[in-house]
Amino acid sequence: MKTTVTILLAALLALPLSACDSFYVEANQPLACLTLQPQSFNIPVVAVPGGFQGEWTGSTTVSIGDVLPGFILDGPPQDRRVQLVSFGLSLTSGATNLDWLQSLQVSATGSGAPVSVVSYDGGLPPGSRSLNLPATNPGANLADLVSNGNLTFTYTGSAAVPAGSTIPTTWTGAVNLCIQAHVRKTFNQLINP
Amino acid sequence: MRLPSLLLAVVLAAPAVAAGAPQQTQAGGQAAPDTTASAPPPAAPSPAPAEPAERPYPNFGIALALGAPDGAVLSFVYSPFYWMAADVGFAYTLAPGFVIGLEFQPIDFVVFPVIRGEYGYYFAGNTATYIKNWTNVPEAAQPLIGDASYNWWSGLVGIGIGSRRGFSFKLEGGITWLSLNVKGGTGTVNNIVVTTEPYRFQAFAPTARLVFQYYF
Repeated sequence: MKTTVTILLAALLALPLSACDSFYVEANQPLACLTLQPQSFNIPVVAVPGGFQGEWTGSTTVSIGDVLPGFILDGPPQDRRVQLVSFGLSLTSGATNLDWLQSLQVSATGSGAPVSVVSYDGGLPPGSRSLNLPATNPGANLADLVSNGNLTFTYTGSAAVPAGSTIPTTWTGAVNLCIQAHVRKTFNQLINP
Repeated sequence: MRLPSLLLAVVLAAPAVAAGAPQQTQAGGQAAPDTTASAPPPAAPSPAPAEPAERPYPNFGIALALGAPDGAVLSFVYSPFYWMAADVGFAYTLAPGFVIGLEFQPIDFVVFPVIRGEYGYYFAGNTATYIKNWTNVPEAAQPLIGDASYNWWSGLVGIGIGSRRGFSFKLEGGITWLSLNVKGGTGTVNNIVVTTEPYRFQAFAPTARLVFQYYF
């Protein structure tokens, strides 16, 4: 009896003390969508046979630290992930549709090397005013790129406007980003951040 | 621990059994002088004092448990065998909930070990409000935290002191797998409209319970 009680007491005490690295908390955000304020883009077009062509660039900095809990972004690099699920662009003014959009590349930039996350090479139904694209690199961990709570997306696109159509030299669009996030921290990491 | 009580009963019963046994003849097989003619007839042997009947183990009881993540739980206990008990309890911490447990007490002694498994669930209640306050979530982001409920599975071992037929006190510890499920929401944070799907926090953590139990 005494031995049994001793073993039980030892187990009760030893388990929590020895297992701080085994005990953990994890958070899963399967989907969070961020709709950014409409942004203006300029397309310097040049005349080509049959119409006009142009390339445009732009960038948006998202204060992702205000949207995701700090413990996700501050988590240990190997145990925290923020991944882009999809990218959306909605035309708000400056053009009647996105028929002129030939291609679009989106990269995430920040504290590390830019990572390509979205690629579009045409194919929208005529008359579309928005496009929604799945991430082309869904495994990219955007948490590695967050700097001071900010994550920057850069856009590079090309436009082709047939002769006789309105040239969207300045247009505005709203960007929608859908992300998922996961973090895991052991009790030791929570106690001694 | 029924063995000690059985041994004790045997020891107590031994003299009585001996008193009822026939007299052994003297050495050499000689019969003892016949004194029956003058002596009064021997009195009939008095019956051995009956061993007090062991009171059956009570089947029902109540328990008050305090612990984490259990909170405060008032349970009804049903024990079909002395070594096993099932309990269902009303729980309250941040919100109302319930706890269902199955407990094994392999030996019956004043100090006894306990092995327990349990499932608990807390309804949404005010849990989300407490989370917002405790974590200092900015007001703009608070709509992103919807109703929150949590549930857990635990395995515990412990020791108890007391009687299986009355009051006992138990201290239990072990491990738990806890899930906090939060409904999402929509809010505007720094001019960004954010919509979140339901999300989840999970923890593999230690657990402990302090239990006061009474069988009646």
